[in-house]
Parts: sequence; C-alpha cells; structure tokens
Amino acid sequence: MNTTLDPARTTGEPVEPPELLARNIRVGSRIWAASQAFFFLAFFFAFLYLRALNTAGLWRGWPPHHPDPSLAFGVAILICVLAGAAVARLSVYLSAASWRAGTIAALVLVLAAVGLQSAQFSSLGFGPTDAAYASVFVGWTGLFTVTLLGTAYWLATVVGDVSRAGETALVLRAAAVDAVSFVLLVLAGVEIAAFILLYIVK
Amino acid sequence: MSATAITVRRPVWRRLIGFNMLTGLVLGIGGWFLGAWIGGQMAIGHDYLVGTDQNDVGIYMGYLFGLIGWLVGLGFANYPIGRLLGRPPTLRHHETGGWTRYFRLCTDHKVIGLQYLFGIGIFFFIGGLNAMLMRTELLRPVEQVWPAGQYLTLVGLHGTMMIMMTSAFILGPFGNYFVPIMIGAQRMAFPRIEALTFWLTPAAGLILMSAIAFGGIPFGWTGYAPLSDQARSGADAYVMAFLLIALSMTLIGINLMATILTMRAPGMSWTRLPIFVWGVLATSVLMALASPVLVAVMSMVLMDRSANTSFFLASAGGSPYLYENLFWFFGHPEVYILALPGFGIVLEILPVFARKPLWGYRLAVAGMFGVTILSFMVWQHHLFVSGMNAGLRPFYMLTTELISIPTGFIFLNAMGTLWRARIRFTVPMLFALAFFFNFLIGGLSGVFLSDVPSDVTTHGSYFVMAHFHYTIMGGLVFAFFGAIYYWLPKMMGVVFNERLAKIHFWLMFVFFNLTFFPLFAAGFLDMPRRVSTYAPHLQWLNDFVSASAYMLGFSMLVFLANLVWSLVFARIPAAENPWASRGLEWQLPTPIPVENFARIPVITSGPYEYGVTGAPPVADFMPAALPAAGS
Repeated sequence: MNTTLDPARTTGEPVEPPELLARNIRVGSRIWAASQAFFFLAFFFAFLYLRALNTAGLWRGWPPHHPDPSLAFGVAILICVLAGAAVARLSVYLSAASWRAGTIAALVLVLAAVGLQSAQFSSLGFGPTDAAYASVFVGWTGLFTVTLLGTAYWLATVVGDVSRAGETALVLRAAAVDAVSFVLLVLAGVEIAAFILLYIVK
Repeated sequence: MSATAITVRRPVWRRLIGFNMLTGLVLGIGGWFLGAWIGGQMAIGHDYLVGTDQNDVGIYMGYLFGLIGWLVGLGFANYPIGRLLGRPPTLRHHETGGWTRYFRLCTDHKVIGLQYLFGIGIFFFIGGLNAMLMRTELLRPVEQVWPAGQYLTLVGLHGTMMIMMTSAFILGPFGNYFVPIMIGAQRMAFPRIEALTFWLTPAAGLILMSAIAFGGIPFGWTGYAPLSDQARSGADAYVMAFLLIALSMTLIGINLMATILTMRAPGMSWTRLPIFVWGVLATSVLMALASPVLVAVMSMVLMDRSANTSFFLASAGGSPYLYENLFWFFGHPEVYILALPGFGIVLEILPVFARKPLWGYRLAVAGMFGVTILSFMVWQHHLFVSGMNAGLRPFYMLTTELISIPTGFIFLNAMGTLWRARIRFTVPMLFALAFFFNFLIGGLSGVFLSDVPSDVTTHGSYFVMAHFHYTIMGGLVFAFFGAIYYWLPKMMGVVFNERLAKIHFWLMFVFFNLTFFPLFAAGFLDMPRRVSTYAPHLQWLNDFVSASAYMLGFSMLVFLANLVWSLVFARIPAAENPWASRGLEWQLPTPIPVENFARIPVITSGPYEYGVTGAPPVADFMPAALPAAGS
C-alpha cells in the first residue's frame, strides 16, 4: 500500500501572524485563570460550609488536639507567591534586555513557595485524618501547590522558549509572559484567600 | 519533484508500530501495573493511607500511570521532549495521511471531530445497552436477573455513559469540526489541547468500565457521598474517570472560547456569527467555569478515599451535603452544557429548511446567555428534599422557574422562523421539530420539579426520570441525530439512505414517547428510581415501557445499519451543498481541505438571509490581500 509522505514535514506549516498567536495565548490564559479560580472556589466554599455546620463539633478536630499550622510558614509562602506574581507581572513591562532576569526571579520565588509548602507538610503536626479543618487545609494547600508547580513549569518553558527564539519573537514573548503572569496574579489572589481563611480565621 | 509526490511503501504491520492507539494501550496497561506497584509501596507504613481494607492509593496510582502511558503511547510527550531538545515549535501534527491519523495524535480539528463522533457513539451504544438490561430487569416487579447492588451499578454505568461520556461531549464532534470553519478560521486556537481533550475520553471510558471489575459503582451517576466514600474500589474508577472527563470538558471550553473570541475571519461580526457558534460559546463558558468545580469535588472524594480526609464524613466533621452542593453547582450547569448545543443545532437547522431568516437572532443569543447565567443560581433545587434550610427554598424555586423564560426565547425563535415558512421536511428538519415537541414536555414537567410542593411529592420517583429523559434524550439526542443527518454529508462526503433515515426517525420519535411518557404516570404512582423492585400493580406499565424501550433500541440499530450501509457499501457521493445552505461550511468543497480555506475569507453577510432579495454572498473566499484572521 502506498503512503503519501506527510507534506507538513517537508514543506512546513503555513505561517500565521504572531499577533494571532499572541492573542490566543492572552485570551486562553484569562479563561484558564477563571477556571482555576472556580476550582479553588470549591475549597473556599468547603471551608465556609464545614466551618458553619461544625458537624458533631468536629470542625477543628477532636479535643484537646486542634490542628494549628505554623503561621511563619504561612506568611513565608504568602510572601513568595505574592512576590513571584508581582515580579512576573512587572516583567511584562521590562525592556527586552532585562525581562529574562525578571521572569527567572519570579520562577525562583514560585519554586520557593512550592518548597516551603513541602517543608511545612513534613512538619505539619497534624494529618489529613484530623477532621474537617485539617481536610480542607491539606486539600486546599496541597492542590494549590500542585497548581503552582504546573505554573512554574509553564513559566520555565516560557523563559526557555523565548530565550531561544531571540529578539525576533518580541510579540510572542510579551504575550507569553503576560499570560503566565496573569495566571500567577489570580493564584496570588487565591493564596491571599487561603491565608486569611486557613491561618487567621481557621 | 514536489514533496507530496514522494511515496513510501510501508506494510500495514509497520504502521501499527509507532505512536498510536495500540502503543497507547500497551503502555497504558504497563503503566497501570507499574503505578499500582508504586502506590502499594507508597502506602506501606502510612496507616492513614490504608485506613480501610483496600489500598486505594495503589489503584489511583495505577490509573495515573496508566493514563501517562496511554498519552505517551499516543505521542503526546513527543512535542515537549522535542522542544527540550531544541526542535522548532509547531502547531500541527500528522494532519495529512491516511486512515491511521484517526488512531493517533492528530491536530486537524476535522479529524478530531470525527474521532469524537465515533468515540462518543461507542459510549452511547454501551449506555443504551445498559438501558436495555435495566428494562429487562424491570419486566417483573421482583428481583430476577441482577441483584440490587448490580442493578445500581447498571444504573450508574448507564447514567455516566450517557451523561458524562456522551452528552457532555456533544460539542466534541460538531463543535470541533465546524466552529473553526463556521467562523472562517483554519484551525482551533490550541490544536494540541484539542487533541488531548479527545484522547482523555477513551481513557476515562476504559477506566469507568473497569469499575465493573472492582465492585461496581453502587451509587448511581451522581456518586453521592458518603456512599461513594465508602464503596469498594469501583468508586476509585468512577472518581478517576470523572476527573478526566471534567478536565477534558474544562479544556474544551477554554479552547472553543479562545477560538471564537480570537480567530473569527474579517467581517465575521458578532451579529453574523452562526447561531450554533453562539450556542457553543455559551456552552464553553459553562464548561470552563463549572467543570473545574467537578474536578475539585472529585479531588475531595479521592482524598477522602485514599488519604482518609473527611470532607464528606459527618462522623469526622465533614458533611455529605457539601458533596451535594458542590456536585450540583457543577451538575446543573451541566444540564445546560447538554441543552445549549442542542438549541444551537436546531436553530441552525430550522432556517435552512424553512427557507427564511432566523427569527429573533438577538433574542436567541439573549436566551442562551440568560440560561448560562441563571444556570449557576439554581443548583439547590436538587436538594429540596435533602433537609436543606427551608428559608433557601423560595429563592431557588424562583431562579429555577425564571430559567424557563430564556428557554422560552428559543421556542419563540423557532415558532417565528417556522411561521408561514415553506418547510422542507427533510430528516434533519424532522429531528429538529421533534426536539421542540419533546423539549416542551421536558420543560413543562420541569416546572413541577422546580416548584417545592410538587417536587416534594415527585422527587426520587420515575417522574424525575421521565423529565430528564425528555430534556436530555428528547432534546439533546434528537438534536444530535439531526446534526448527524445535516452535517454528515459534509463530514464524510456520502449521502445517507433517506428511507432508512426516516424509518429511524419515526421509530425513534414514536417509541421514545411511548417509553418515557408512561414513566410520568409511574412516578405519580410512587415508583422509585434506582430500585429494581416495585409494586406488583405497576407491572403492566413497566412491561409496556420495556417493550417500547426495546423498539427504541431497535431504532438505533436502524441508524447503525444506515450508517454502515451509507459509509461502507453504497458510498453515494454527497453534493457540496445538498441543502442549499448559506452556512460557510457548505460553501467549501467536500472533503474539506486540511487548511479549510486557501485564504482567510472575508465575511460579507449573515448566514440566514434566506429569501432576502439582493442578499450578498456569505463570503469572499479569494480576497485580494490576505487579511489577518480574527481582525
């Protein structure tokens, strides 16, 4: 049986204007951020709902032991996430010469937040079995960390991609950094809500 | 010599080796065993990971690694690895070639549309087979074929196959195939993600069916906690499958929204957008925002089952009501994820065969987005009899009844379009008209369920079952078949046998109504859902329904026979525009070229100007200069 050689491999794909690709990335990132916000809205609701119900008086676990996560870790994670989002956002406005340093700094801060959350889990003092608050804490912060890690991977690919592409891809560079930084801003908002509820309100 | 003229001889067996479905299956099965082993090792020594007599961690890890193997086998890892190795970026993969592109990663939206069509078709028939088995059990009022637990699993698999694996992906075939063409684009915004959304669905389907081997899903399609928390390992399959489905739905929503927002051809203003695309856009909003909540709630069940958290366990501070709230926060918009594409399809079909402009175009758009917004505010009507705060009931009763107003707009559009029209009763038109007949009954019966006093007496009965079958099967599935008969000549390039198609329609229409209308009566006579036994005096009613259901199932075989006959044996080539439609997709040659348009067209008029004297052609397909898409 004859097989025609894939022409896309030999003739190359049709070139589309970079402005279109940039717009796709920007719009897609806004919708993706909205999806993530709704994902964490479920945990926000779970916190308020279970706390208000306080079923069998077990919201904070079985007395006398009440889960009490370290505030120091919480503040450190919050600072890293907020700073990472802010630096990533600022990188959009930086000159072509210095944006790379900005995005790498943002990447380091986001990864630091992931590392700190992992460190906190290893010395949490309570576990997922310690009733409702502990469940929400572990679920929310755990999945937030996974999301953050995924966004860090995205940020790293943006840095790598655009560095390789050089100065010819300025439009795409701006769009890619704008997209990932917007998602990080939304995640920073989620982190603020998580900090207030999980560390202060409890 | 041009590159396309070069041919390479390769035997069939060689083409089976490489990144395709077969490799995906092999790596997926291998991944499952590897993951299960790793999960088993992880759980050793962590008593909170193995709080029950089964190791859910191992099962979840098995599914996770199986999924990774499946995707790697299909070739989804090639691009990221290639990029790591410094290969240049590309948006497209394997868009040309023979039949093998249907069995591997291909980023042509038309190939993906057909993959979806046949993929969800398989799940539709599995779900239908489950329904036949359920009706067989219900031939007698006592337990006869299936024990109660297995019957519940049957109900659960029927529900999940029909709602989550079929109806939820109704955008898959027609949205992916036609939206880029209808807006004048050459591709979707994110082609690789588009391919991923499809290839997650077979994985979800296989995982879901594996539940049978792990104790089933004895809690129905809704997976209510604490039943789903406490069920055997079959529940793990349910959770994992729903996670994948929800992820896929989210990504479909994002992709379609981004495509419609950014890639419209020049001249494709919002008021020239085909009404089907508006339906897709409204559905995409719901998919992008509601489906993540399903991902979250399934993550919570997963953690409850594997890490012994207590989101839904009242004995440890959680609450099953949390599950019900979150599930239905997704679940009710999901109802409109099913309905809105149906609205779009039938409103797309009506003007073509009424030969009149669509009446009240803006009203239809308003109706769709009215439904979209209100659908987020009605979910608690599913909890009317669950012991919710009575003070909340009036609000949710009101919002639920309000949603009938924008839905009514769609009926107004249809009636206005049909008014004094010279209707051509083609098969797609028959299905579109049947949609309105059935959906009207479904909608009117829904008012009873939105009203607290009547809901209290009918909740949990066959009345509810009849209602949602009238809306989902009577509405969406009829629209779906209408779309198949309408668009398949363009998608496959062949003509259906019209006589068989009409036999299919009439059998389906008559026996659908004979199957489900009596179930309203069964509900009023207190026949409960999800239970295989019932009061003896209801047997004649159930026997009648079962007989009708078998005939309804037979009508699907007629469709299948027609499909096979038309595609494999008859193969009568379809005309390029057999319906004389003004739709952009019908102006293209059949089969549609890989790039859809040689140049991005300039849209010059709306798609529904039938009978309008002096209406310009719908688009200029060879504009002097190549304009930028989306501008």
